[in-house]
Amino acid sequence: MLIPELKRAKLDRVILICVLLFCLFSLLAVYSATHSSESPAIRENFNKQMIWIGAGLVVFYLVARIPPVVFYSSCYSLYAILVFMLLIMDVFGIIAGGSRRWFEIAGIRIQPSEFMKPVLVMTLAHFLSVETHSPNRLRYLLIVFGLALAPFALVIQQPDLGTSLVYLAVLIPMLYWRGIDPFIIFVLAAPAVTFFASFNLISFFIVILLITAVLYLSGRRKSVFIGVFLVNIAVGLLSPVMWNRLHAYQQQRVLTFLGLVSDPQGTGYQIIQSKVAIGSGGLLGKGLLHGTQTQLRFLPAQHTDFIFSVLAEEWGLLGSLAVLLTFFIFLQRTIKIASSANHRFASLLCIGLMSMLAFQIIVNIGMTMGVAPVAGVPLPYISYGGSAMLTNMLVAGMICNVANQ
Amino acid sequence: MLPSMKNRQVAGKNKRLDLQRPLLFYRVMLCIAVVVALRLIQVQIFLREKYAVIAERQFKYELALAPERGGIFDRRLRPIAMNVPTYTIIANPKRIKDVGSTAAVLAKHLNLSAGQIAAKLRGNGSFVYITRRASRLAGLTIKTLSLPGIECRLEMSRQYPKGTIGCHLVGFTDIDGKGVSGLELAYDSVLQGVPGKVILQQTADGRKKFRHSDYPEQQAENGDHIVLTIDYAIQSIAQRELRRTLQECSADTGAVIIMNPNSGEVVAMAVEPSFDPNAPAKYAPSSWRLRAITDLFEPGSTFKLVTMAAVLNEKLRKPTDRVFCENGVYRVMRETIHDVHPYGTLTLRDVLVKSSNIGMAKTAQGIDKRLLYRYARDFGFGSRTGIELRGEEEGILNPLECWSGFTPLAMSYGHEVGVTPLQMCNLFCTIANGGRVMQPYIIKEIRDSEQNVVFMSNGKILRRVISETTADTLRDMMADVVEHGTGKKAAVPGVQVCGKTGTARKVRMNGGGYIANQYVANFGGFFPKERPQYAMYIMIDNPLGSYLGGEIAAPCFRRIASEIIYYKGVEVEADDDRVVQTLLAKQPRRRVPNFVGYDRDSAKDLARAADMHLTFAEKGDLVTAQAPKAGSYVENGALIRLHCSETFEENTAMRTIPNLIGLPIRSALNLLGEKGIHAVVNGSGRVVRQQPAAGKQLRPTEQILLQCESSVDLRKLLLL
Repeated sequence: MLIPELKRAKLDRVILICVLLFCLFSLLAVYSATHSSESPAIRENFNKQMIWIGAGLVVFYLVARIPPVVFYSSCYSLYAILVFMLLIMDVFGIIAGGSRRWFEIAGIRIQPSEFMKPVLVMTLAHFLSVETHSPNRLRYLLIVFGLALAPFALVIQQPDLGTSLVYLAVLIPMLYWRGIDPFIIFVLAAPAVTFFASFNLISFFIVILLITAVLYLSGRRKSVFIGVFLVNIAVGLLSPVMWNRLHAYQQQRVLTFLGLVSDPQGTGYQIIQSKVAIGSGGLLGKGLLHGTQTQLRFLPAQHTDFIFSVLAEEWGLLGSLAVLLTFFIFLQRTIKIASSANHRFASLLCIGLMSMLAFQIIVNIGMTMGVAPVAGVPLPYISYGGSAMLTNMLVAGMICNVANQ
Repeated sequence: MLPSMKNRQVAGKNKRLDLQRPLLFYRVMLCIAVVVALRLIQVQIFLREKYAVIAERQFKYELALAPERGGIFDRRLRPIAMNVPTYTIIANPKRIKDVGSTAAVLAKHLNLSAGQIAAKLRGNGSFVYITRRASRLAGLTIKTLSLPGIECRLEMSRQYPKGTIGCHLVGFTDIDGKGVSGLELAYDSVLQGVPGKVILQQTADGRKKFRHSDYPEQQAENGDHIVLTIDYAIQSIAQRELRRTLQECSADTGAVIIMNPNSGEVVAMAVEPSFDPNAPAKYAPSSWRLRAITDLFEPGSTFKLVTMAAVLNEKLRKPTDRVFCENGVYRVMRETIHDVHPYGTLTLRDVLVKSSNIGMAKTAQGIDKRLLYRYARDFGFGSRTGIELRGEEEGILNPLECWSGFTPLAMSYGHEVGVTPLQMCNLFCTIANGGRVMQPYIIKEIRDSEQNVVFMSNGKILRRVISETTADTLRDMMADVVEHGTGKKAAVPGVQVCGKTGTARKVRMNGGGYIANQYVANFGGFFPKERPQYAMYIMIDNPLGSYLGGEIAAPCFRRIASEIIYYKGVEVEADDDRVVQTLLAKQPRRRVPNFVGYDRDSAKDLARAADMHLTFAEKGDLVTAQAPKAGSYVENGALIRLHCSETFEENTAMRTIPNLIGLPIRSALNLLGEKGIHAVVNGSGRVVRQQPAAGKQLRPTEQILLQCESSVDLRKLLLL
């Protein structure tokens, strides 16, 4: 069983078409975003992206043929290897753009945190697929959280908020899919909501009222009721006090890091430029290679984080809705594959990968339109980036693989 | 068997939940997708306008297209103000790599020291002018060097090819081509044109700009050209003669105005001190003043014409009426009036011809003072003439309520009024043209940049003040003034000139009496008497020595008038009423002798004999060069410029003797004069022999011997 025989790949039609469309969008958008640059390094990125897409399609095809047992049996060791790589990142990693995320091997940059995304999903799926590992038991819940928090902690200090949040984002959907009691999710999420609401007396009051109502309706034991209630009251009362004890610059730093305030020079400027690009595109767009904000380079990070703005500007509302629709069909198909998978590991794996992609898509597109904070999350399948492209192709391959069962 | 397959049966445990979970995922995904789509629609459809405006504001770059400023021309379309291409050299100190070498290279081509340039290049900003108005050659050279951080921008700069000629009228512009004074200021809006624009797209860093087909280019509309009534030739004659007169009598300031009395055209308006409009900053701002319209003075006797015109036109007196002139001193109303020469009884005609203040005052004493006020006002005193130039003064003509009993007497001979030279010139025009006050004007035409005439001014009659007969009588009297009165020195042989002299004490500027021993000499007149074509008024402020208008201003009038006649010719009416065009050779033209090689004193003797004036360009005793060249023709009294060197030894360069054989002796001497070689001539006609021969070297002190014969034997010539 060490060298599993490759199956005949029957690729899922919908997934395949979506992936090919993504490749097309990516090539057009990256070309448009790079060809007018003055920097040869940026112009070169289009050629690199073509190579990455080619390599990614090979990965997609191969992964779709690997028997799922390989993922199932190898995920813990892959997890361990990647955590180890993240641990030694501080020593061997190279810094780019103020963040230490990459290893450089033979001139190719590899971003382990990117590969960590599907590996973490695989690991969680493996762990949760064991019949006895019920997330409703505190012990297993803590292990699940521990598995996610380890890479989260290692990546957030690189710093890379966007990637690290992806690790957390897959948790709740996967736990829910595994059958966690929604009340536990509620107990976990309530203090976070209370924290943000506590800065305003009225919103705090309303949140506490809602929490009380849910607690009452849930019909839990009195001790649980009182315990959860008191914890939320305590969080609500203490957090403004704690917050105000921070220095102004510390508060600012935290808020900026979370993307809750925009500094007009940096992220705020990027958001404005992105909205200008998208908005000025109008219904039909300015035409490929004719977007003023893109071609005249007003739009920042246009081939990476703000690639969606390039599409929206040059292709207009119709184009951006087409991209959105492709993503929607892709994700809906993934949910369908997950729900019709014939064993728990495959099902959990699929829903985890879906959550991972959905989170990145929503945060990225939301960011370009100024409704989500600037977290540095690239748009899956479209943005320029080698590790991300390979990872996402791997993900698509896994989904096809599950669909083959 | 896959390990996960063991858990298969678990999947179906809770069927209700299994169906519920995907449904929740589907719904959540759908909700999010709808929210994102709605937001997209909001941004791209409903907020499109707003963001499109912001986008346009960012990438649109408006480039102004500078229109070309219109030129200013004299009446024969000779340019007085024009544009020449020059280069502005701009540096971006942040992009200069090597300050020292860049400065050195620039200094080589520009009229600046490397130190000055280096100081500018070390500045903090990203934009500094190295120089503006660099020559085209320098600009193009620097451009081809393409030094990093140095930009050469082509700009049209204003230039005044005639220098000081007409400087006060034309004025000047600032370095950006905005009018600052004169017509450049007054007609700035006409001259400057309308700037066009091109809308370009610029990159975010502003370093690249592209054409944008959506926005049509808006061409600049070039400024209109102004054609003046000024005649450049007459203007330069007037300026030269005025300057000469001021030098001769060491006067401070002066003005000459020449007008066409029939139309009101100003043909020349000369003012001293003058300046070079190409470099106005090098001159005192007081020299920029167009004193012909801005300076007030008491005219003195020239104003007697107004009084005379009033009494004659109202038929209150006849020219033959007699007036007792009190033998030079007349005490009236606790004031004393003096005459320069004491007179007994004079006819009214002689009062004007001999310019008796007492005679004039007594005439004015007998008439209604309102009459005098009305005539002065109607002649245009106390109000602006309305010429197109800026800064015109209206003069002082006190309202009747402010008059004392003595005012009519003082005014009758030109005191207690303040006038400008232009108002006075217009008085002479009025008499010359038979009694009509003309509107003086200086702009003949305005043409657009395609030379289409868009405006043409014609003479405008403002009003009639005196009848033709009165004007005729006054003309007769004024002809007498020039023929045997105070204005004899204004007489031009061959043309009948009418004129009137005036001498007034200078009024203190801040009011309160006169300045002791300071006078304004003035003279006005016109010619020819029968059909006057030119009226001229000359004002000389504060001459030293002789201060009488007849002594100072009248000779200036004569010189200018005779040159105009020589240059233009005037129509004179022959006895049989035929109008003939006569060119008067006013003075014989003289050949310039050779001064080169002579010492200063000999040169002066030579000049005196030839009726020429000399200026010496350098110190030194030996004349080494001259302009105009020997043998050219000039008018009497022309100025010859001589270059000298310090010692004879300095100029010991050997001269090569040219071949003179066969040349007429005059050409031969010219040729030698240019080279500074002295010649001893025998005979006349053509040179047949020279000693030493052509090609030999000659010391400056040595002479060449020329043998001439009136008819040249060709064979002899060939044999030689």
